[in-house]
Amino acid sequence: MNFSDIHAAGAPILMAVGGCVVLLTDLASKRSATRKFGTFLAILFCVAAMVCSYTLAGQLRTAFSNGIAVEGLVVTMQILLAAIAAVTIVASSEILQSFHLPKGEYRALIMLASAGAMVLVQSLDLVNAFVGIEIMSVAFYVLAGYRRAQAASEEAGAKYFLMGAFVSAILLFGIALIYGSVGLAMKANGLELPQGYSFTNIVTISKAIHDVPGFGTSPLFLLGAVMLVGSLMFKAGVAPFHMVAPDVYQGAPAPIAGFLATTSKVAAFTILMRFFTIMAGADTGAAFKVIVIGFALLSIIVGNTGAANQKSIKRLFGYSSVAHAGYIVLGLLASLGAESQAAAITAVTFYIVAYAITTIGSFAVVAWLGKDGEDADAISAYRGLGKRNLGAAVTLGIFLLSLSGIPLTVGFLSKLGVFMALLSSGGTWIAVVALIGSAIGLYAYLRVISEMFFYDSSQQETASSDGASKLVAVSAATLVIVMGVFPSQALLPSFEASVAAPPVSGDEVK
Amino acid sequence: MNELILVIVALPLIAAVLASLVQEKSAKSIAILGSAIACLVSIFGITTGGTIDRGFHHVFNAPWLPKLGLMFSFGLDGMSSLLVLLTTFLTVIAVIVIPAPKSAVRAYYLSILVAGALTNVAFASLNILLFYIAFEAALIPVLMSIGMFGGGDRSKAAIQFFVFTVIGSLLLLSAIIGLRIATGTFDYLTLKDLVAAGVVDPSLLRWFAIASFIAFATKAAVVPLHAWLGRAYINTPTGMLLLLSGAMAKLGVYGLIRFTLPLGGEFAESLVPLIVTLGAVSVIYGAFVAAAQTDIKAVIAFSSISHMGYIVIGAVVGDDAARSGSVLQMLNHGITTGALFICCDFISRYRGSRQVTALGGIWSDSPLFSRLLLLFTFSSVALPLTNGFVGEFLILLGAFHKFPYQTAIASAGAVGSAVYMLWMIQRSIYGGSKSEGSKVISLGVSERSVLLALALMIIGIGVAPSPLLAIASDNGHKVGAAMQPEVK
Repeated sequence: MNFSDIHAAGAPILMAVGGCVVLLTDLASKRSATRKFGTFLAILFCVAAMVCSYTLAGQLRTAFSNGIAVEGLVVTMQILLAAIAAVTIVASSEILQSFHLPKGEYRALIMLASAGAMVLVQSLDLVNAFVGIEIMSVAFYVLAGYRRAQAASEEAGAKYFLMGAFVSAILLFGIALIYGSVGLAMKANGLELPQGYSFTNIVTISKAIHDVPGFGTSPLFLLGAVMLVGSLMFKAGVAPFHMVAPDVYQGAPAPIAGFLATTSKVAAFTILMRFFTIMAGADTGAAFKVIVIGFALLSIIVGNTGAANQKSIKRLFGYSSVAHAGYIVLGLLASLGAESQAAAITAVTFYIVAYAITTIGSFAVVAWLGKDGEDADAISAYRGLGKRNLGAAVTLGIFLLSLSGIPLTVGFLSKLGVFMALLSSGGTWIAVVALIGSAIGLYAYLRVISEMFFYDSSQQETASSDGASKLVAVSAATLVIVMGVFPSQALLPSFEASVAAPPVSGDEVK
Repeated sequence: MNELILVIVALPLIAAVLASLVQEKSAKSIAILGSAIACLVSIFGITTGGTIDRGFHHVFNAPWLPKLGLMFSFGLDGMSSLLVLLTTFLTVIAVIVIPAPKSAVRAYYLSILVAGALTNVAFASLNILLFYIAFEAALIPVLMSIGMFGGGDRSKAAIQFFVFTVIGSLLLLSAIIGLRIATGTFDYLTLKDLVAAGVVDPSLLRWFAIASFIAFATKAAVVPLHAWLGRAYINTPTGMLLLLSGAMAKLGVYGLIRFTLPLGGEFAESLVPLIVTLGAVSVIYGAFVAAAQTDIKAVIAFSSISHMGYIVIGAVVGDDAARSGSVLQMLNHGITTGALFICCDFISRYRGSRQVTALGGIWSDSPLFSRLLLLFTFSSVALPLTNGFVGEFLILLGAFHKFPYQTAIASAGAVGSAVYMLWMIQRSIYGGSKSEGSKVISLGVSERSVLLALALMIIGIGVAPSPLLAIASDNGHKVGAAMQPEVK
C-alpha cells in the first residue's frame, strides 16, 4: 500500500472519513449549531471526493493488489454518487427538522452508504465488491426505516433488511461458487494464476472464461454467475426481485427514497456492467442470456403495468424505477454482444446518469409540495396543481415526460441509446416488447400530468416552505432539458472517456 | 437564404416565449405578429432558391448531435413548402380569429405557436431522426392544449390521443433505428439513394414499411387506426384543432409519400392495395359516422376521416396526377375544414350550442356568415369551381385505372358527403331558431376578413388550380424515381 493506492481509493475513503467526522462533530457540538455546519461539512467532503475522483480521470490504474481499478466509467459514477449524496443531504434538511430526527447520524449514514457504493463501483475483486455492497446496504436498511415513529417507514426498513440480508448471503454464495469453479478450471487446465490476482478477481475470471474451453458453460460457474447477477439485480430493484422497492420508496421520506433508488442502481449496475463486459463474446450458452432477457422484459412489463394504477405517487415512482431498471438491463444485454459493446456501455452509463437526475428531481418535487415534512404522496393531491403552483407542476411534468421518454428530454436520448445498442445486437422482438411496455408506462405518467393540468382543484394553495427541495427539483429539471437537447455540452465527454478506457479485460495480464 | 426554414420555425418560437412572458393583453398581438411574419416568410419557401440538393431547395445543414447522426437538416420541395405554408397560415388564423380562454391566455398561445413550429420542423426535415423528434414533440403542446382548454371530456380525450399516436410513433422509432444500424445514417436523401440502389437488407425495409405505415396511418386517422380522432377533435379547442386537423394530420399522409413508399422498398409497394382499400373504407366509414352525428363539430370531425381517406388513396396509388391531387387536397382540406371549424366555433360561441336540434334561423339572422358557411360546405362536398373538386377529381381520376373497385366505392363517398353536410346545414342554418333568446352571430372586422380570405382561396384554387398543382407535383416522386438514384 502506498500513496498511489490511497489516491485511487480516495473518493470512498473521503466519504467514509467524512461520515465519521460529521458524526463526531455532531456529537461534540450543541444541537442548534450543527444544522448548518454539519451540512456544510458533509458537502465539503462530497466535493472533495468528487475532486479526488476527477483527478483520476483519463487513466487506467489498479490499486490494493489489483483489488480495485479506476477508469473513466468509475470516475463518472463516483462523481455522480457524490453528487447524489450531497444533493440528498441538502434536500433532507427540511424533513429532519420537521420530524425532529437526528441529523448527524443521518448525514453520516448517507455518506457511508455512498462510500460503500463507491467501493462497489471501483472494485475489481468480487470480495471487495461484497464489502462495498454490505457497507452500502447496512446504511440503506437504517435509512429506509429512519422515520421510526411512522409504521410505514419501520415496515419498509424491516422488509428491506430481511430481504437484503438474505440476498447478501446468496451473493456471497455465488462468489464462492465462482471462486471454486475458476480455481478448479485453471488447475485442471494447467493455467497459472495471473501474477498478483486472486481467484475472485474479474481479470482471473475473464481469463478463465476466455482461455478455458467449456468454462463458460460449466454448471458450477453458471450457477455462481446467476447467483451473483441475480443478487445484484435485487440490489438494483429488477423484477422479479422488485417487491420491496415500491414499499421502501413509499415508506421512506421522499429525499431518502430518491437516494435509495438512485444510489443502489448506480452501484449495482456499474459492477454488473463490469461483469458483463468480461462475459461478452464468451460462450456462456443460451441459458445466461435468456435469464437476462427475462429480468429485463419482466421488469419493463411489471414496472410499467404496476405504475399504471397507483394512488400513491411514490409507489408510482417505485414501479417506474423497476421499469427503468429493465431498460438498463436491456442495455447490459446489448453489452454482451461483441460489436454493440462500446455503444451499449455508453448507453447504459448515460441512462443511469439520466435516470438518477430525473428520479432525484421527481422525489424532490414530492418533498417540495409536502406540508410539515409530510410528503405530498397521494396522486389526488396533485389535482389542479397547475393552477395552484405552476412552477412545481411544470417541473414535475418535465420529469414525467422524461420518464416516459418523450423527445427533447434526457429520457428520450437515454432510451434511444439503449434501443440503438439493443437493435444493433439483434434483439428486434425484445425491443418491440419493451416499446409496448413504454406505451403502458406512458399512461401512468400521463395520469399524473392530467391530474395536475386538466382539472380544477378545490384545494387551497399549498404554501411550500421547503426551499432546498425546490432548488434541487428545479435544477434537476433544467438538467433534464439541457441534457435532452445538448447532451454533448453537459456530460458526453465523460462518457467518451469511459468508452475510450474499457474495463479491464484479460489482455492486461499478459 | 438557406436559413429560411430556421426563420420560419424560430419566429413563432420567439413569439411563444415572449407571449408567455408579457402581460396577458399583449400576448395576442405578439402571437399574431410572430406567426404572421413567419407566414409571409414561408411564401418564399415555395419559390426555388438557396442550395439545391437532389430536388430540394433551401437545403440547410448544421450538426446537432453528430455522434447520434442527428443533424439540423432541412430542405423543401414543392410538397413540403406547400405544407409549411399551410401550417404557418393556419397558425395565423388560429391566433387571429379564435379568442383565447380567459383562464390561461399565455399558455394557450404558447401551445399553438409551439405546435405550429414543431410541425414545420417535421415537414421541412431531411434528417429522419429530426423528423421523428419533431413529429413526437409536437404532440406535447396538443396534449396540453386539449387537456387544459378542451371540452368536457378533455382529460380522457387528451390521454387517448397521446397514447394512441405515441404507440404508433414508437414503432416508427424502432424502424428508424433499424435503418440507421443497417445504413449508418439518418440522412433522408442518403437513405433514399441507398434503398433505391437496393443495398439495404429487405427484411429491415419490410419492418420499416409496416411500422411507419402504422405510425402515419394513425396520424392520418385511417380506419381502423382512427379511434382516437372523434373524442380528440370534438374536445380540442378550435384554435389548436385548426392545426391538429389541418396541418398535423397531414404529417401522416406526408410521411407515407416521403418515407414509407420510398424507404419501404418493394414491400411498401405490395402494401399499396391494402392502403388504398383502407382509404376507401375510411371514406365510407367517415361518411356514415358523420351522418349519424347531431353535433356539428362532430359532423366536421368525422367528415375529416372521410376526406383523409381520399387523400391517402391519392398519396399511395402511384399515379402522378393522383399524388399531385392528393398534395393539393391536403392544402384544400386544411383550408376548408379549418374554415368549417371556425364557423362551428362562432355558432357555438353565439348560440351556446352545437347541436343541430337547437340551432336554426342563422340564414336570416346572419346573412354573410351563413352564405360563407354554405360556400365552405360546398368546398367540403367538392362542388365544381371550389378547391375541393379539383383535388378529389384528380385523385379519383388517377386512382381509377389502377384500383377501379376501391375508387368506385370511394366515389360513392362523395355522394355521401353531400348528403350529410347539406343535411347538417339544412338543419342548423335554415328555418326558424329552435331555441329562444339566442344571440345573432355578428362578425368583427378581423373575423370577417379571415372568413372572406378563406372563401377567396377556396374559389381561387377551384377556378385556377394550375400554379399550385405545378408546385404540388414536385413531391419527390418523379416517374421512375424509385427505380434509380437521382444523380446530384
